[in-house]
Amino acid sequence: MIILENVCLNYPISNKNLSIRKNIVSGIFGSNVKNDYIEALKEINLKFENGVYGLSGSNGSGKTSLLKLVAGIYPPSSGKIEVSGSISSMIDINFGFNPELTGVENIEFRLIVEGIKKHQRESMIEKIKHETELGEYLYLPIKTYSTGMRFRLAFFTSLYIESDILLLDEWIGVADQKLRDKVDKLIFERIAKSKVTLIASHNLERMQKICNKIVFFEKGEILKIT
Amino acid sequence: MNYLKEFFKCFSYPDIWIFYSHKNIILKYKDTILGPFWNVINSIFLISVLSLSYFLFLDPDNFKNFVYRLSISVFFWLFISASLNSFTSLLEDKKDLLNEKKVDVKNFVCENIYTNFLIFLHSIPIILILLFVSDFKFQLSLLFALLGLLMVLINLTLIGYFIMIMSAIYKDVKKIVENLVYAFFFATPIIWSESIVSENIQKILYFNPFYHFIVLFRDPLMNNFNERFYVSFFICLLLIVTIFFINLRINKRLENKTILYL
Repeated sequence: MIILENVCLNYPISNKNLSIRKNIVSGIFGSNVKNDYIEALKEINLKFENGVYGLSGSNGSGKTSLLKLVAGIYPPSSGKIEVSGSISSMIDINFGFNPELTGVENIEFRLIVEGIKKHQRESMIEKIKHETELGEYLYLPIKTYSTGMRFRLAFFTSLYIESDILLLDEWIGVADQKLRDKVDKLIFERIAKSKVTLIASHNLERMQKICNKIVFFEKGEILKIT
Repeated sequence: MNYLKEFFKCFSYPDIWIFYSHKNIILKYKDTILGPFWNVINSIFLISVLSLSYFLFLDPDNFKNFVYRLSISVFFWLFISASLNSFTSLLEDKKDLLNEKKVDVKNFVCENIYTNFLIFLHSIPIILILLFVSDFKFQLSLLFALLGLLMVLINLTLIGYFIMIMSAIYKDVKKIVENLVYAFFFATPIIWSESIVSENIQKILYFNPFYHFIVLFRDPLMNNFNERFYVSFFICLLLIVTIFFINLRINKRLENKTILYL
Protein backbone atom coordinates (compact mmCIF):
# COMPACT_ATOMS: atom_id res chain seq x y z
CA MET A 1 0.00 0.00 0.00
CA ILE A 2 1.13 3.55 -0.75
CA ILE A 3 -0.26 6.59 1.09
CA LEU A 4 0.60 10.19 0.23
CA GLU A 5 -0.62 12.92 2.59
CA ASN A 6 -0.29 16.58 1.60
CA VAL A 7 2.87 15.80 -0.33
CA CYS A 8 4.75 18.67 -2.00
CA LEU A 9 7.95 18.48 -4.01
CA ASN A 10 10.06 21.52 -4.80
CA TYR A 11 13.03 21.37 -7.17
CA PRO A 12 15.76 23.82 -6.22
CA ILE A 13 17.05 26.16 -8.91
CA SER A 14 20.60 27.49 -8.81
CA ASN A 15 20.92 30.81 -7.01
CA LYS A 16 23.37 32.15 -9.56
CA ASN A 17 22.00 34.78 -11.95
CA LEU A 18 18.64 34.19 -10.38
CA SER A 19 16.96 37.10 -12.06
CA ILE A 20 17.86 35.85 -15.57
CA ARG A 21 17.06 32.25 -14.74
CA LYS A 22 13.81 33.31 -13.12
CA ASN A 23 12.69 34.94 -16.33
CA ILE A 24 13.70 32.04 -18.55
CA VAL A 25 12.26 29.34 -16.29
CA SER A 26 9.02 31.21 -15.65
CA GLY A 27 8.62 31.52 -19.41
CA ILE A 28 8.78 27.73 -19.70
CA PHE A 29 6.99 26.58 -16.55
CA GLY A 30 4.58 29.42 -16.00
CA SER A 31 3.11 29.75 -12.53
CA ASN A 32 5.04 26.73 -11.15
CA VAL A 33 8.14 28.85 -10.63
CA LYS A 34 8.85 30.59 -7.33
CA ASN A 35 12.01 32.51 -6.44
CA ASP A 36 14.47 29.67 -5.96
CA TYR A 37 12.52 26.50 -6.69
CA ILE A 38 9.94 24.89 -8.95
CA GLU A 39 6.83 23.37 -7.41
CA ALA A 40 6.83 19.97 -9.11
CA LEU A 41 4.03 18.55 -6.93
CA LYS A 42 1.52 20.44 -4.82
CA GLU A 43 -0.50 19.07 -1.90
CA ILE A 44 -0.90 15.54 -3.26
CA ASN A 45 -3.24 13.24 -1.34
CA LEU A 46 -3.47 9.72 -2.75
CA LYS A 47 -3.93 6.19 -1.53
CA PHE A 48 -2.90 3.24 -3.71
CA GLU A 49 -4.16 -0.13 -2.51
CA ASN A 50 -3.75 -3.41 -4.39
CA GLY A 51 -4.24 -2.83 -8.11
CA VAL A 52 -2.90 -1.20 -11.24
CA TYR A 53 -2.89 2.61 -11.38
CA GLY A 54 -2.16 4.90 -14.29
CA LEU A 55 -0.62 8.36 -14.04
CA SER A 56 -1.48 10.61 -16.95
CA GLY A 57 -0.65 14.19 -17.89
CA SER A 58 1.41 16.34 -20.19
CA ASN A 59 5.21 16.71 -19.95
CA GLY A 60 6.23 18.33 -16.66
CA SER A 61 2.88 17.64 -15.02
CA GLY A 62 4.48 15.64 -12.16
CA LYS A 63 4.01 11.96 -13.15
CA THR A 64 7.68 10.97 -12.99
CA SER A 65 8.26 13.08 -9.88
CA LEU A 66 5.50 11.14 -8.14
CA LEU A 67 7.07 7.82 -9.15
CA LYS A 68 10.44 9.01 -7.85
CA LEU A 69 8.88 10.09 -4.56
CA VAL A 70 7.26 6.68 -4.13
CA ALA A 71 10.56 4.97 -5.04
CA GLY A 72 12.30 6.99 -2.32
CA ILE A 73 14.60 8.64 -4.86
CA TYR A 74 13.26 12.12 -4.08
CA PRO A 75 12.43 13.25 -0.55
CA PRO A 76 9.13 15.14 -0.19
CA SER A 77 9.61 18.84 0.56
CA SER A 78 6.63 18.58 2.88
CA GLY A 79 3.92 16.05 3.68
CA LYS A 80 4.13 12.36 4.43
CA ILE A 81 4.63 9.24 2.32
CA GLU A 82 4.02 5.73 3.60
CA VAL A 83 5.13 2.82 1.45
CA SER A 84 4.72 -0.74 2.64
CA GLY A 85 6.49 -3.38 0.58
CA SER A 86 9.52 -3.81 -1.64
CA ILE A 87 9.86 -1.70 -4.80
CA SER A 88 11.06 -2.48 -8.30
CA SER A 89 11.23 0.32 -10.85
CA MET A 90 11.88 1.36 -14.43
CA ILE A 91 11.83 5.14 -14.20
CA ASP A 92 14.83 6.89 -15.69
CA ILE A 93 15.42 6.87 -19.45
CA ASN A 94 18.96 5.52 -18.84
CA PHE A 95 17.62 2.85 -16.46
CA GLY A 96 20.57 3.54 -14.13
CA PHE A 97 22.94 1.64 -16.41
CA ASN A 98 26.62 2.36 -16.66
CA PRO A 99 27.26 2.79 -20.41
CA GLU A 100 30.86 1.59 -20.11
CA LEU A 101 29.90 -1.76 -18.61
CA THR A 102 28.66 -4.71 -20.67
CA GLY A 103 25.06 -5.90 -20.65
CA VAL A 104 25.88 -8.81 -18.34
CA GLU A 105 27.80 -6.56 -15.94
CA ASN A 106 24.89 -4.13 -15.82
CA ILE A 107 22.48 -6.96 -15.07
CA GLU A 108 24.75 -8.15 -12.27
CA PHE A 109 25.08 -4.67 -10.82
CA ARG A 110 21.33 -4.10 -10.91
CA LEU A 111 20.80 -7.35 -9.00
CA ILE A 112 23.47 -6.33 -6.47
CA VAL A 113 21.75 -2.98 -5.92
CA GLU A 114 18.48 -4.84 -5.33
CA GLY A 115 20.26 -6.74 -2.54
CA ILE A 116 20.13 -10.16 -4.20
CA LYS A 117 22.73 -12.56 -2.78
CA LYS A 118 25.53 -13.94 -4.91
CA HIS A 119 24.28 -17.55 -5.09
CA GLN A 120 20.89 -16.36 -6.39
CA ARG A 121 22.40 -13.84 -8.77
CA GLU A 122 24.17 -16.38 -10.96
CA SER A 123 21.02 -18.32 -11.86
CA MET A 124 19.03 -15.09 -12.33
CA ILE A 125 21.65 -13.67 -14.69
CA GLU A 126 21.43 -16.81 -16.84
CA LYS A 127 17.63 -16.51 -17.06
CA ILE A 128 17.74 -12.80 -17.88
CA LYS A 129 20.45 -13.34 -20.50
CA HIS A 130 18.24 -15.91 -22.20
CA GLU A 131 15.09 -13.74 -22.11
CA THR A 132 16.69 -10.58 -23.48
CA GLU A 133 17.67 -12.40 -26.72
CA LEU A 134 20.58 -9.97 -27.04
CA GLY A 135 23.08 -12.75 -27.74
CA GLU A 136 26.66 -11.57 -28.20
CA TYR A 137 25.65 -7.96 -27.54
CA LEU A 138 25.38 -8.87 -23.86
CA TYR A 139 29.18 -8.92 -23.74
CA LEU A 140 29.57 -5.46 -25.30
CA PRO A 141 29.45 -2.13 -23.45
CA ILE A 142 25.87 -0.90 -23.47
CA LYS A 143 26.95 2.43 -24.95
CA THR A 144 26.87 0.45 -28.21
CA TYR A 145 23.20 -0.50 -27.70
CA SER A 146 20.18 1.12 -29.31
CA THR A 147 17.46 2.52 -27.00
CA GLY A 148 15.32 -0.55 -27.74
CA MET A 149 18.13 -2.89 -26.74
CA ARG A 150 18.64 -1.00 -23.50
CA PHE A 151 14.92 -1.26 -22.87
CA ARG A 152 15.09 -5.04 -23.35
CA LEU A 153 17.91 -5.28 -20.86
CA ALA A 154 16.19 -3.06 -18.30
CA PHE A 155 12.78 -4.63 -18.74
CA PHE A 156 13.85 -8.25 -18.37
CA THR A 157 16.14 -7.41 -15.45
CA SER A 158 13.31 -5.63 -13.62
CA LEU A 159 10.94 -8.46 -14.50
CA TYR A 160 12.98 -10.98 -12.54
CA ILE A 161 13.24 -8.83 -9.45
CA GLU A 162 10.27 -9.78 -7.36
CA SER A 163 8.63 -6.93 -5.48
CA ASP A 164 5.36 -5.81 -3.95
CA ILE A 165 5.33 -2.51 -5.81
CA LEU A 166 6.17 -2.03 -9.48
CA LEU A 167 6.85 1.47 -10.87
CA LEU A 168 6.95 1.96 -14.65
CA ASP A 169 7.50 5.18 -16.55
CA GLU A 170 6.70 5.38 -20.29
CA TRP A 171 7.53 1.69 -20.26
CA ILE A 172 6.58 0.67 -23.77
CA GLY A 173 7.40 3.64 -25.98
CA VAL A 174 10.83 2.50 -27.11
CA ALA A 175 10.02 -1.14 -27.86
CA ASP A 176 9.44 -2.39 -31.41
CA GLN A 177 6.16 -4.14 -32.35
CA LYS A 178 7.53 -7.68 -31.89
CA LEU A 179 8.93 -6.80 -28.49
CA ARG A 180 5.75 -4.95 -27.51
CA ASP A 181 3.69 -8.11 -27.89
CA LYS A 182 6.11 -10.09 -25.77
CA VAL A 183 6.35 -7.29 -23.21
CA ASP A 184 2.54 -6.96 -23.06
CA LYS A 185 2.16 -10.61 -22.17
CA LEU A 186 4.94 -10.54 -19.59
CA ILE A 187 3.89 -7.26 -18.06
CA PHE A 188 0.44 -8.64 -17.31
CA GLU A 189 2.04 -11.64 -15.58
CA ARG A 190 4.37 -9.33 -13.65
CA ILE A 191 1.54 -6.96 -12.68
CA ALA A 192 -0.39 -9.94 -11.36
CA LYS A 193 2.54 -10.79 -9.08
CA SER A 194 2.87 -7.24 -7.72
CA LYS A 195 0.42 -5.88 -5.21
CA VAL A 196 0.58 -2.31 -6.47
CA THR A 197 1.62 -1.17 -9.95
CA LEU A 198 2.00 2.47 -10.94
CA ILE A 199 2.34 3.24 -14.64
CA ALA A 200 3.09 6.73 -15.94
CA SER A 201 2.32 7.16 -19.62
CA HIS A 202 0.94 9.45 -22.31
CA ASN A 203 -0.88 6.54 -23.93
CA LEU A 204 -4.33 6.88 -22.39
CA GLU A 205 -5.93 4.15 -24.52
CA ARG A 206 -3.34 1.61 -23.40
CA MET A 207 -3.67 2.60 -19.74
CA GLN A 208 -7.46 2.36 -19.84
CA LYS A 209 -7.09 -1.30 -20.86
CA ILE A 210 -4.92 -2.33 -17.93
CA CYS A 211 -5.45 0.16 -15.09
CA ASN A 212 -8.07 0.07 -12.36
CA LYS A 213 -7.80 3.82 -11.88
CA ILE A 214 -6.10 6.68 -13.70
CA VAL A 215 -4.87 9.83 -11.95
CA PHE A 216 -4.64 12.88 -14.20
CA PHE A 217 -2.02 15.52 -13.38
CA GLU A 218 -1.65 19.11 -14.49
CA LYS A 219 1.12 21.48 -13.36
CA GLY A 220 1.91 19.34 -10.32
CA GLU A 221 -1.68 19.03 -9.14
CA ILE A 222 -4.28 16.30 -9.39
CA LEU A 223 -6.83 17.25 -11.99
CA LYS A 224 -9.13 14.26 -11.69
CA ILE A 225 -9.22 10.54 -10.89
CA THR A 226 -11.22 8.15 -13.07
CA MET B 1 22.83 7.75 14.97
CA ASN B 2 21.36 6.74 11.62
CA TYR B 3 24.51 8.03 9.93
CA LEU B 4 26.69 5.45 11.67
CA LYS B 5 24.14 2.66 11.14
CA GLU B 6 23.98 3.41 7.43
CA PHE B 7 27.78 3.26 7.17
CA PHE B 8 27.84 -0.09 8.96
CA LYS B 9 25.14 -1.31 6.57
CA CYS B 10 27.43 -0.44 3.64
CA PHE B 11 30.17 -2.53 5.24
CA SER B 12 27.87 -5.45 6.02
CA TYR B 13 26.77 -5.61 2.35
CA PRO B 14 29.88 -4.43 0.49
CA ASP B 15 28.91 -5.99 -2.88
CA ILE B 16 27.78 -2.64 -4.35
CA TRP B 17 31.02 -0.72 -3.82
CA ILE B 18 33.37 -3.67 -4.28
CA PHE B 19 31.76 -4.46 -7.65
CA TYR B 20 32.08 -0.89 -8.87
CA SER B 21 35.62 -0.43 -7.51
CA HIS B 22 36.91 -3.44 -9.44
CA LYS B 23 35.06 -2.33 -12.59
CA ASN B 24 36.38 1.25 -12.17
CA ILE B 25 39.95 0.03 -12.20
CA ILE B 26 39.36 -2.29 -15.15
CA LEU B 27 37.65 0.49 -17.13
CA LYS B 28 40.19 3.16 -16.21
CA TYR B 29 43.09 1.11 -17.50
CA LYS B 30 41.21 -0.77 -20.22
CA ASP B 31 43.34 -1.50 -23.29
CA THR B 32 46.57 -0.43 -21.56
CA ILE B 33 49.39 -2.95 -21.18
CA LEU B 34 50.50 -1.96 -17.69
CA GLY B 35 47.07 -1.25 -16.16
CA PRO B 36 47.13 0.39 -12.70
CA PHE B 37 50.94 0.19 -12.74
CA TRP B 38 50.80 3.31 -14.95
CA ASN B 39 49.94 5.17 -11.78
CA VAL B 40 53.07 3.77 -10.13
CA ILE B 41 55.18 4.65 -13.18
CA ASN B 42 53.93 8.24 -13.11
CA SER B 43 54.93 8.48 -9.46
CA ILE B 44 58.31 6.86 -10.13
CA PHE B 45 58.92 9.46 -12.82
CA LEU B 46 58.19 12.29 -10.37
CA ILE B 47 60.37 10.69 -7.69
CA SER B 48 63.21 10.18 -10.18
CA VAL B 49 63.17 13.82 -11.28
CA LEU B 50 63.13 15.08 -7.68
CA SER B 51 65.81 12.59 -6.61
CA LEU B 52 68.04 13.57 -9.50
CA SER B 53 67.69 17.24 -8.59
CA TYR B 54 68.57 16.40 -5.00
CA PHE B 55 71.57 14.36 -6.12
CA LEU B 56 72.88 17.09 -8.42
CA PHE B 57 72.26 20.18 -6.30
CA LEU B 58 72.23 19.10 -2.65
CA ASP B 59 74.12 16.89 -0.23
CA PRO B 60 74.14 13.34 -1.64
CA ASP B 61 75.18 11.65 1.67
CA ASN B 62 71.68 10.50 2.56
CA PHE B 63 70.61 9.88 -0.98
CA LYS B 64 69.19 6.34 -0.46
CA ASN B 65 67.21 7.42 2.58
CA PHE B 66 66.01 10.54 0.82
CA VAL B 67 64.63 8.51 -2.10
CA TYR B 68 62.92 6.08 0.29
CA ARG B 69 61.35 8.93 2.28
CA LEU B 70 60.29 10.75 -0.86
CA SER B 71 58.73 7.60 -2.34
CA ILE B 72 56.59 6.86 0.71
CA SER B 73 55.48 10.48 0.85
CA VAL B 74 54.66 10.82 -2.85
CA PHE B 75 52.82 7.50 -3.17
CA PHE B 76 50.79 8.18 -0.04
CA TRP B 77 50.05 11.75 -1.04
CA LEU B 78 48.83 10.63 -4.46
CA PHE B 79 46.43 8.24 -2.73
CA ILE B 80 45.10 11.03 -0.49
CA SER B 81 44.85 13.67 -3.22
CA ALA B 82 43.30 11.34 -5.83
CA SER B 83 40.68 10.24 -3.30
CA LEU B 84 39.78 13.80 -2.30
CA ASN B 85 39.65 15.12 -5.86
CA SER B 86 37.42 12.32 -7.11
CA PHE B 87 34.91 12.93 -4.29
CA THR B 88 34.03 16.26 -5.90
CA SER B 89 32.44 14.66 -8.98
CA LEU B 90 31.32 11.38 -7.48
CA LEU B 91 27.58 12.05 -7.27
CA GLU B 92 27.47 13.73 -10.65
CA ASP B 93 28.97 10.55 -12.12
CA LYS B 94 26.32 8.44 -10.39
CA LYS B 95 23.41 10.64 -11.45
CA ASP B 96 21.85 8.05 -13.77
CA LEU B 97 21.83 5.36 -11.11
CA LEU B 98 20.53 7.69 -8.40
CA ASN B 99 17.67 8.82 -10.64
CA GLU B 100 16.59 5.22 -11.16
CA LYS B 101 17.03 3.59 -7.78
CA LYS B 102 17.39 4.68 -4.18
CA VAL B 103 20.97 3.80 -3.28
CA ASP B 104 22.70 4.94 -0.12
CA VAL B 105 25.34 7.43 -1.27
CA LYS B 106 27.70 6.22 1.46
CA ASN B 107 28.34 3.22 -0.80
CA PHE B 108 30.03 5.60 -3.21
CA VAL B 109 32.27 6.96 -0.45
CA CYS B 110 33.45 3.41 0.29
CA GLU B 111 33.80 2.73 -3.44
CA ASN B 112 36.01 5.75 -4.01
CA ILE B 113 38.30 5.10 -1.04
CA TYR B 114 38.57 1.41 -1.93
CA THR B 115 39.32 2.11 -5.63
CA ASN B 116 42.10 4.56 -4.80
CA PHE B 117 43.42 2.29 -2.07
CA LEU B 118 43.69 -0.62 -4.53
CA ILE B 119 45.65 1.62 -6.90
CA PHE B 120 47.86 2.72 -3.99
CA LEU B 121 48.56 -0.94 -3.12
CA HIS B 122 50.31 -1.31 -6.48
CA SER B 123 53.06 0.97 -5.17
CA ILE B 124 53.74 -1.13 -2.05
CA PRO B 125 56.30 -3.40 -3.81
CA ILE B 126 58.33 -0.30 -4.76
CA ILE B 127 58.24 0.95 -1.15
CA LEU B 128 59.37 -2.49 0.10
CA ILE B 129 62.25 -2.65 -2.40
CA LEU B 130 63.39 0.82 -1.33
CA LEU B 131 63.10 -0.20 2.33
CA PHE B 132 65.59 -3.01 1.66
CA VAL B 133 67.93 -0.68 -0.20
CA SER B 134 67.78 2.11 2.42
CA ASP B 135 69.45 2.11 5.83
CA PHE B 136 66.16 1.54 7.64
CA LYS B 137 65.53 -1.76 9.38
CA PHE B 138 62.55 -4.01 9.88
CA GLN B 139 61.25 -3.30 13.38
CA LEU B 140 58.07 -4.16 15.21
CA SER B 141 57.18 -0.45 15.18
CA LEU B 142 56.67 -0.75 11.39
CA LEU B 143 53.29 -2.26 12.25
CA PHE B 144 52.19 1.12 13.58
CA ALA B 145 52.12 2.26 9.96
CA LEU B 146 49.04 0.02 9.58
CA LEU B 147 47.39 1.71 12.54
CA GLY B 148 48.27 5.07 11.00
CA LEU B 149 46.87 3.94 7.66
CA LEU B 150 43.61 2.90 9.32
CA MET B 151 43.38 6.29 10.99
CA VAL B 152 43.90 8.06 7.65
CA LEU B 153 41.31 5.83 5.94
CA ILE B 154 38.69 6.73 8.56
CA ASN B 155 39.53 10.41 8.19
CA LEU B 156 39.35 10.26 4.39
CA THR B 157 36.02 8.45 4.54
CA LEU B 158 34.51 11.16 6.72
CA ILE B 159 36.08 14.09 4.85
CA GLY B 160 35.09 12.41 1.56
CA TYR B 161 31.44 12.19 2.60
CA PHE B 162 31.48 15.88 3.49
CA ILE B 163 33.10 16.90 0.17
CA MET B 164 30.80 14.61 -1.86
CA ILE B 165 27.59 16.11 -0.47
CA MET B 166 28.79 19.71 -0.43
CA SER B 167 30.18 19.63 -3.98
CA ALA B 168 26.89 18.24 -5.29
CA ILE B 169 24.98 21.17 -3.80
CA TYR B 170 27.53 23.98 -4.01
CA LYS B 171 29.27 23.86 -7.37
CA ASP B 172 32.23 25.99 -6.21
CA VAL B 173 33.35 23.32 -3.76
CA LYS B 174 34.92 21.24 -6.56
CA LYS B 175 37.29 24.05 -7.55
CA ILE B 176 38.01 24.94 -3.92
CA VAL B 177 38.96 21.34 -3.10
CA GLU B 178 41.14 21.03 -6.22
CA ASN B 179 43.04 24.21 -5.35
CA LEU B 180 43.40 23.31 -1.68
CA VAL B 181 44.77 19.86 -2.53
CA TYR B 182 47.25 21.48 -4.91
CA ALA B 183 48.30 24.03 -2.27
CA PHE B 184 48.65 21.41 0.47
CA PHE B 185 51.03 19.40 -1.71
CA PHE B 186 53.55 22.22 -1.26
CA ALA B 187 52.51 23.09 2.30
CA THR B 188 53.05 19.53 3.54
CA PRO B 189 56.50 18.01 4.00
CA ILE B 190 56.31 15.65 1.03
CA ILE B 191 59.10 16.83 -1.24
CA TRP B 192 60.80 18.72 1.59
CA SER B 193 61.62 17.81 5.17
CA GLU B 194 60.24 19.56 8.24
CA SER B 195 63.82 19.67 9.63
CA ILE B 196 64.84 22.29 7.05
CA VAL B 197 62.23 24.85 8.16
CA SER B 198 62.25 27.12 11.19
CA GLU B 199 60.63 26.17 14.49
CA ASN B 200 57.80 28.61 13.89
CA ILE B 201 56.92 26.97 10.58
CA GLN B 202 57.13 23.58 12.29
CA LYS B 203 54.55 24.80 14.80
CA ILE B 204 52.26 25.96 11.99
CA LEU B 205 52.55 22.49 10.44
CA TYR B 206 50.56 21.11 13.36
CA PHE B 207 47.52 22.88 11.93
CA ASN B 208 47.91 21.02 8.63
CA PRO B 209 45.87 17.78 8.83
CA PHE B 210 47.71 16.33 5.83
CA TYR B 211 50.98 16.63 7.73
CA HIS B 212 49.55 14.33 10.41
CA PHE B 213 48.26 11.87 7.78
CA ILE B 214 51.75 11.65 6.30
CA VAL B 215 53.40 11.34 9.73
CA LEU B 216 51.07 8.51 10.77
CA PHE B 217 52.05 6.40 7.76
CA ARG B 218 55.61 7.53 7.05
CA ASP B 219 57.23 7.82 10.49
CA PRO B 220 56.85 4.14 11.53
CA LEU B 221 58.18 3.06 8.13
CA MET B 222 61.27 5.20 8.73
CA ASN B 223 62.11 3.82 12.21
CA ASN B 224 60.96 7.15 13.51
CA PHE B 225 58.30 6.06 15.96
CA ASN B 226 58.27 8.65 18.72
CA GLU B 227 56.00 11.11 20.51
CA ARG B 228 55.29 12.90 17.20
CA PHE B 229 53.33 9.84 16.08
CA TYR B 230 51.19 9.99 19.24
CA VAL B 231 50.55 13.72 18.76
CA SER B 232 49.49 13.16 15.14
CA PHE B 233 47.37 10.20 16.20
CA PHE B 234 45.59 12.31 18.80
CA ILE B 235 45.04 15.19 16.36
CA CYS B 236 43.60 12.80 13.75
CA LEU B 237 41.33 11.31 16.38
CA LEU B 238 40.11 14.79 17.22
CA LEU B 239 39.57 15.47 13.53
CA ILE B 240 37.48 12.28 13.22
CA VAL B 241 35.23 13.32 16.11
CA THR B 242 34.82 16.86 14.71
CA ILE B 243 34.00 15.80 11.14
CA PHE B 244 31.75 13.05 12.43
CA PHE B 245 29.53 15.57 14.19
CA ILE B 246 29.50 17.89 11.17
CA ASN B 247 28.54 14.91 8.99
CA LEU B 248 25.74 13.95 11.39
CA ARG B 249 24.14 17.28 10.61
CA ILE B 250 24.72 16.96 6.87
CA ASN B 251 23.25 13.46 6.95
CA LYS B 252 20.12 14.69 8.66
CA ARG B 253 19.57 17.89 6.72
CA LEU B 254 21.14 17.56 3.29
CA GLU B 255 21.92 13.99 2.21
CA ASN B 256 18.53 12.93 0.87
CA LYS B 257 18.00 16.29 -0.86
CA THR B 258 21.27 16.02 -2.79
CA ILE B 259 19.65 14.20 -5.72
CA LEU B 260 17.55 17.31 -6.44
CA TYR B 261 20.73 19.31 -7.12
CA LEU B 262 22.32 16.86 -9.58
